[in-house]
Order: sequence, then structure tokens, then C-alpha cells
Amino acid sequence: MLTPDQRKQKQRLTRYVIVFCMLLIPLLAYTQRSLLKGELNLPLSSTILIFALININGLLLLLMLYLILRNLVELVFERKNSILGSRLRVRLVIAFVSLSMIPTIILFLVSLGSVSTAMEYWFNTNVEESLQSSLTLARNLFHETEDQAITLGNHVKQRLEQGDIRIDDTLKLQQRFDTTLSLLPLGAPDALSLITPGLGLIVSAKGKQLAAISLPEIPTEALRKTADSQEPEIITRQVPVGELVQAIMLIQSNEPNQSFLVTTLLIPTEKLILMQSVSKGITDYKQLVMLKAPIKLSMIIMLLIITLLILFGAIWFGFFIARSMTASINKLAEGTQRVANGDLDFTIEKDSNDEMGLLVDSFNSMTSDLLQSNRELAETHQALQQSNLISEQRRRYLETILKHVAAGVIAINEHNEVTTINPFAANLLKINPDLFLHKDFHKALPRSHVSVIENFFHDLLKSGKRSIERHLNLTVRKGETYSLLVNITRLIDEQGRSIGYVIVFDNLTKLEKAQRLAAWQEVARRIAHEIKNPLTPIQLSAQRLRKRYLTTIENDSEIFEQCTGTIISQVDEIKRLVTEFSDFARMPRIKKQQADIIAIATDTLVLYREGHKHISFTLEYDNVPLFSFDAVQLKRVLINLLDNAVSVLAHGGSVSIEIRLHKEEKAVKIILCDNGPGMSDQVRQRLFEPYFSTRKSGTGLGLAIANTIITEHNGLITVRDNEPTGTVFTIELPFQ
Amino acid sequence: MMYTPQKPSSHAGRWNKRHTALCFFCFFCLSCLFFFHPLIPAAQTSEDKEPAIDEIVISADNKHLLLFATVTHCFTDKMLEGVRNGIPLTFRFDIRLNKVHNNWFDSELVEHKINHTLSYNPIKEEYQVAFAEKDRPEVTRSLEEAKSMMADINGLELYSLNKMHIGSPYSLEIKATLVENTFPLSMHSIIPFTSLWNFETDWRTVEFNY
Repeated sequence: MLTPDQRKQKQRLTRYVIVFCMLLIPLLAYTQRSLLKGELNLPLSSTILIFALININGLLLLLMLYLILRNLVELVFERKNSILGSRLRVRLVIAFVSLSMIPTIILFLVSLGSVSTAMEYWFNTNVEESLQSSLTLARNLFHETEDQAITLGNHVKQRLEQGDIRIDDTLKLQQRFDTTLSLLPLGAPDALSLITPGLGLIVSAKGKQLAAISLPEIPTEALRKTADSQEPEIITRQVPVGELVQAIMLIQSNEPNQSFLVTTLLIPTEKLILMQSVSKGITDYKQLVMLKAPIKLSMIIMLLIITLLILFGAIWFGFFIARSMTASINKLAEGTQRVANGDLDFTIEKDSNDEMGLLVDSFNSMTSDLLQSNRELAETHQALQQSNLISEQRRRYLETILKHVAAGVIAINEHNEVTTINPFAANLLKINPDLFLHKDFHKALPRSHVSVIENFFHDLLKSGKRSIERHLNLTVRKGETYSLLVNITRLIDEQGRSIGYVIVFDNLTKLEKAQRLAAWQEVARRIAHEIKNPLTPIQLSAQRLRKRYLTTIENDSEIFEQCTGTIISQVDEIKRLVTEFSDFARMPRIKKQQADIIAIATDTLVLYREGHKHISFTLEYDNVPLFSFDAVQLKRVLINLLDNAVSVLAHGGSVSIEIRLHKEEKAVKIILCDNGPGMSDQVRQRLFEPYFSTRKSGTGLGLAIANTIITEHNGLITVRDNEPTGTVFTIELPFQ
Repeated sequence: MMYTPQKPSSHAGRWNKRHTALCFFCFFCLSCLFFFHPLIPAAQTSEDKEPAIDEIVISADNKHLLLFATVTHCFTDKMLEGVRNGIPLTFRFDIRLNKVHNNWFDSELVEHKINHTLSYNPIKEEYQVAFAEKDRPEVTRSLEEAKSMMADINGLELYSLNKMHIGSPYSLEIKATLVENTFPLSMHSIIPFTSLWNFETDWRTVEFNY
């Protein structure tokens, strides 16, 4: 497959060859013509040269024919394969060929007719007849000369035969010949000779015309023929002044040697030339007649060659024009295809400065403009992608922050639609974000919550501030109440327009609980410390008094014993309380060890089963392996919970403990259920607070201690209502 | 963007070197006909017989080996018409005398190329035959006599007898050709590659012992 440059070069080469041929052929024809006319003198034989020239002409013609045919075949081939531009080229070539072929063919036919007519005209019978007549005239002249020579010879012969002069009398014979030549000037022969072969020439007389010429010898063959035939023999001889017509006759005599009379007549050179020209003319004409057909053929061939030359030239010119016209169109068509395929980074070469060149220029400027805008678009796109990426990264970053921040974030837009609920908020509020996102909060939330939010917004607007903070106690579900610090902020865009609100709330429940617990622990520690100190002296004093005076007092000894006993017992009671306070204040560190929770629960339940026969205790458990926890403390928790359950089931009931292993959560859950009366929300809220008890006799520290122990284990203790009645305590311990 | 030229889906989609070669081959075969000279067959005589050399006689005089031979069926009416119209006729006799060696190649002793030319004078109405082996041409008014003189070799001195070995085998090869006539009036310039007539006999070989 040729590159465009190679193709161009090849076409250029072909063009040069064709032009060369077209120039060379006329030059060769001119040379041939000159050779024909004999105008050129060349060292080589002109026949060979002409032969060579004709061959070269033929070769050149063939070369042109080949190139043209090749182009034609190529065009047909391209047309068949629907190559771009082939149809237009075919049309152009056909147009050119038709334009040139029709007049050329007409001219050829007319010329052919003219040549034929001319040749017929040249070779008509009149010409031949006239030429023939001229030849006959010349011939007759010659024959007349011959006859005259014979006649004159006979005349002289008769005189010699009858005469009185002897053959061997040369003198007299000479005189007789001279007289004969002078006497008959008009009809006289130009020379008379008497030849005796045995003796050689005897007598010879020449007239004025032959006076300076020496007569050629008579060939013996002619003398022999004359002697044999006994008839006059005519011979002709060329001399400088013309042609001699010699009549040889045998002289009949009694001489022993034969004598021959030669009567010579001269056809002068001028007449001879005329006769020869007549002869040449007729022979030439007749030769032409013979060669009529080949000459006609050669002329037709020459006509044909020239016609073909013209035709090929026209066809080639048609190709050239077609190619030059379609080249630009082809380039444009290819260019549009390239543009359609997305390639804009090219220019089309301009071949001319005409309208096609203008079109090419316009196309080039169009593609360059398109390329420029494409590049700009690409750059813009890239920049946009970049900024999108950054925005996306920022968004993801914000989302990650929102996802992991330990505060709930809810965003509401200017149309009161919830746009964001972060996972903390969703988990805390126990809601499915999908049910609330992009919905008006008035419709999505319960009325109580809606009023809370609306109050917040009202407060915010009223305050005139961008942001306000409120404390809120929120019951999410039955049994779950959180203490939340809610911060509501109004969102304002760059133009100062309100685009919504963002509500951020922190769960203070644990914090509050811990604070409360710490406060209580501090109080308990202080009280225990303050109270414990005087208790011992009081008790000791009472014991001492009892010891000293119980036996000595006779009156009112019962009262004395009662009072001292009361003092000691109550002090014990106070000590117990204080001890509990101390215990609460100084919670011992838990010591985790691998232990069997099932065994602990089982052991604990055994005690209670024995002690509380009116209550049924059940234990269900999974196959929980040993794991790390403080067995003593946990037993304490279980005892605490069981104590509470038992205290509310005074009239019987059931208590069940379930121990479940949740491998995926890595937790062990201990669920303690009773079917007692249950508790109210207020009670539930404060259940794990220290010194909160529903029992008159309780210290209110049991569940607080239990909560502390579980919290120390990094676990969780929760409470909820049982169905239909009762309470469910759930302890969640990490499974390690 | 780099532009990758779309290659045609099939190899035959575009004119390529293969097609050029094919086109050239076809053209070459056709154009060979142009350069074959039309082979004009050997001229047919009026009796439609091939020209041949007959009556070959090899004899000797005192000094030389002599050859006598005749070409038969060598004249056509067209030739004679041409002669009468002033186109001379020339026969060329190619004669070779070889010494025969039995176990080796023959050696050529002598080669003669003899021309006989027949021409006609329309004014005198006489035929002239010029012989290469004779000094003077023969003139006759009889066409038959002229034809006879043209076609005959009479007593051509082939070789000197001194140089020949008695009893040795020799061979004589003889062929007659009608020399391609040049067209009159430089017609050969216009009508190339053709002759009005020609003939060429086969080589005749005669072996003899001296």
C-alpha cells in the first residue's frame, strides 16, 4: 500500500512519461518524413533507421496505451469497489472521452473516406490510359528507329550485294559509305560499318552526331545469331551522346568470309531521356497501382495511430483533470470521515487557489476551531472532574465524620425536609433514616416530637441568635429515655438566606449517670467517714455501760437492758449502712478471670430455690464456654437482681434466667425475667441511681452497685417491661 | 489525537501492485502480437507448388569443380507483373562446399553467394538478366528465356580441383532465396515489415566423392 507521497510521486512520473511520449512521437515522425524525402543524411542506412524509428514509435504508442489502459482498468476496479471519488472520476473521464472520441472518430472516418476517394481518383483508368499511350508512343519511336535501321541497312545491303564494289575493297567501300551518309542526310543512318569477323572491322563511316564517338564493338554472339538466323539482328548500345540502335545484317556474297553490315542509328540523349521518363512514369504508376492496397493500409494505420494518440491524450487528460478535481473532493470527504470518527488534529493540503482551495481553507479552519473548543471542553471537563472529585472527597470526609461523630446530627432544609440523619442519631433514636429522609418532619415524626422541634425553632428565632442549646429528656421507646443536650443552629448561605437547620444532640445520659454516681459516691464516702467515727465509741460506751451496770442496777434493769441493747443494735445497723455506703463509695476493682457463668448462675439459683419455694426459678443457657469476668462481682449482681425479683414476688411467681452467647456481637447476654407487677417509667428512669429504692427497707444501692460492676466489665445493663407483666433485666458482657 | 489510517476491509479494496502486475502481464501478452512480423508464407507459384532446387549436377573441367542447378516453381504471376512494372527480381543462391569427415564435423571449403537479377525495359520490351558470375548481362525479348536464365546456374566454378583430394567425400549445400525487394519510391519507409513476395527453398545437400 503506497503512502500518499509515494502515490503522488508515481502519478507525477506517469505524467512525465506520457508527456515525453507525446512529444517524442511527433519528433520521430518528423525525422521519418525527412528521411523519406532524403533531406537528412545519416550515417546509418535509412531503411534501418526508419525501421528503428517505426519500432520506437510503436513502443511508445504501446507504452502510452498501457498507461492509459492501466488507468482505465484501475478506474473500473475502483468503481466496482466503490472507492471514494471513483464515481465522479468515471463521469469526468467518460465526459472527456466522449467529447474527444466523437469528433476524432468522425474525423477519422472522413479522412479515411477522403484517402480512399483520393486514391481512387489518382488511380483511375484515364491516367493509366494516357500513360500507356505515352509508353506506346515511346515504344513505337524505338521500334521505328529499329525498323528504320533495318530498312536503311537493307537498302545499303542491297546496294552492296548488287553493287560492283568488292567486299575487300575497303577504300571504295569507305567512299561509298561516306557518300551514303552524306547523300541522305535526313533518312541517313548515323553510322555504317562492315564487319568481317575473320578479318575484323573493315569499313566504318560515322555521321556528324557520332563523329566524336568511337563505336563499341559488336558482340560475336550477335554476329553468330545473325548468321544463324539469316535475319537482321537489332542490338542497342549506350554511348555518351545517346543510345545506338544497330541493325546487323549478313551480306550475301561470294566471298569466303562472312561479312556483316551494321547500320547504326542514334537516339539522342535528349530523346532518350524523354523516352526513359515516359517509361519510368508508367512503371512508377503501375508500381503504385500494385502497391495501392499496402499504401492505403499504411495511410489508414498512420491515421489510426494519430487518432489513437489523440484519443489516448484525451483520455489521459480526462484522467488528469478528473484526478485533480476529485483529489481535493476526496481529501475533503476523507476529512469529514475523520472528523466524524473524532479526529480533528489534521489539516488538508490546499492544491489550488480557486473555489476548491477556498473550500479546503474553510474546512481546515472549521476543524481547527472544533479542535480548539474540544480541547477547551476537555480541559473544563477535567477541571470539573477534579473539582467533583474534591467535592466528593469532602463529602465523603464529612459523611465519615458524621458517621463516626459521637453526637447525633439531623439536618432540615428550608422546606422542612429532613436531609441528613447520621448513624449516631439513627441508633440513638432507634429510627430507620430511609423512612425520614427527604420527608417533611411534620409528617414523618410523631406529634410530640414535632412540637418539641417546633418549640426549639421558635426559641431560636425568638432569641435572634444563630444557635441555641437546650436540654431535653427524650423517651425513644418504652423504657428508653435519654438525656440529650440539643444544639439547634440556623444554616445561612453566602447570600444570607436561610437554607435550613441543623440539630446536633449529645447523649448526656451516661455522663449524667456517671456524674451522679460519682457525686453519690463522694457523699457516701464522706458520710461513711463522718458517721463511722463516732459509732464505735457510742457502741463501746453502750457495751461498757451494759457490762458495768446491767448486774448492779436493780430497779429498772429491764429498761436499762432494753436501752443499751437498742443502742448497740442500732449502732450495728448504722454500721451496716455505713459499711454499705463505704462499699458503694469504694467499689473494689474487678478482677477478671476465666470462669464459667453457667456454673455461677446455677449455684446462685440453688440457694434461691431452697429459700423461696413459692417461686419457680428456671435457667436456660447456651453452650457458653469459659470467658473472662469477675465471678465474685457478677455473682453479687445476680444476687442483687434475684433479690429484687424475689422481693416483688411475695405471693409467688416465676423467675427465669437465660444465658445466651452472641458470637457475632462478641457478647454474652444474661436475661433475668420476672412476672411481677413491673415498674413505671419514672421508676425505670431512676432505677440505677444510688439510694433510689421502691422498698422502704432498701438502701437503694444494690442496682447502682450492679450497674457499676457491669460498667466496669465494659458491659451494659438495661431494664424493660416484660410481657404481659414483669420486668426484664438484660446484662450484656463482652465475651473475651 | 493520533490518526490511524483506516485500512481497507479487504485487500482487493484498493488498486495495488498485484493488480498493476496483472494488468501489465495481460497487456504484454496482447502487445507481443504487434511485434510479430506478419509471416508471409512462401510465395505460391501458379501451380501451387513449393519452389525447389532440382537437377543439381556437379561436374568438373580441367581446373575447377562446376555446378549446374535449376530452381523450379519459383515464379508467380505477381512477381512477373512486378518485373514488367519495373520492380527487378533478384534470386540469391547460397552454395557451400564442405569436406566430409566421418568421425568429426564437416569443414567448409568455400561459400558462394550468387545473385541473378531480372529486369524489364518497357520501351525496348526486352528482359535483362544480370549474373554475378558473368561480366555481361543477357538480354532477351522472350520471358521464358529470361525465366530460364534466372533460374539456372550454368557451370559455376565452385572450387579449384587442385585443392581437392581424389576419393575424398564432399558435400554440396545449395539454397535459393528471393531477395526481399525494396519497394520503389521509398515505399519501404511507409510500409514496413512487408514484402510483396518472397520465397526461400530448403537447403539441398548433395554428397559426392571426388
